[in-house]
Amino acid sequence: MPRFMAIHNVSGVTEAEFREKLGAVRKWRPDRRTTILKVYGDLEQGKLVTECEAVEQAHFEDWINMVGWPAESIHKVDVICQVGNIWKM
Amino acid sequence: MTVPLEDLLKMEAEEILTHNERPTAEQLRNKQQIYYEDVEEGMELPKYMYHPTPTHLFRWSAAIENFHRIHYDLDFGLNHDRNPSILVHGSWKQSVVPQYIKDWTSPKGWPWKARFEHRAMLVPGDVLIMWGRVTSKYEKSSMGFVELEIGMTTQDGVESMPGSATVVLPLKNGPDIPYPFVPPAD
Repeated sequence: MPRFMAIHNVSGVTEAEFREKLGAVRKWRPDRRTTILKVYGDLEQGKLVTECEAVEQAHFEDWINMVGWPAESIHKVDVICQVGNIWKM
Repeated sequence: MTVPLEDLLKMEAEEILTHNERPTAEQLRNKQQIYYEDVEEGMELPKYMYHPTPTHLFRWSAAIENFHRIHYDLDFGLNHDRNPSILVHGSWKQSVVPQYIKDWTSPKGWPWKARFEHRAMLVPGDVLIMWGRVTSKYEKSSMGFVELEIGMTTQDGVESMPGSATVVLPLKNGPDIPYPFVPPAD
């Protein structure tokens, strides 16, 4: 199953909004494997980076539309380095 | 009176947890026997609620010495097996079933047999409802046999462990269930 990441421009996004919209992530399950893994937020600059494991990009796009954080770009992730460990997707 | 499964599934996860009927050790020690005559087809057993956390999973891995990383190493689970999180152990779910039917039949009944399938992946944060429902009952050799449908359903209504069980309950004026239980000849 592919991994995706998106970069969002959401000027004016607040911590309260961030918490509210992402609090619902647990309930967003188009299937049992699809999930939003991580979201990085620079609230001051209105920039967010989201990471999603999804059966298809359309599921991720549906989620982006649902939360209303338009994506500047969406990328398929090929490889991850986390604390020195390389994970090939 | 237990809340029907279908009503629980209309609730928010936090509210589901408030309907946990898992007895304490003290309550089990003083439990009143359920007799065969008390049971009706369609009757639902008390629901046990579970809300596993990474700590529970780690403890279970250590307790049974199952060190497969999908159960406690989040990076490995996400990036190697591509799971949505660390996964609840099938063996833990398996351990819940005998406890559940033993509690219901105790102190004088007998949880004779159970079968079930492991289906959905369960992750920390899920609210899990262990449930049972009487599907039929019959008397044999002065003992009461009760067939159950059992399962462990998530707060989203995903059935992760569909199965069935047969338990033996004493009759109100019948003899004790033999210990250890020996099934009557067909």
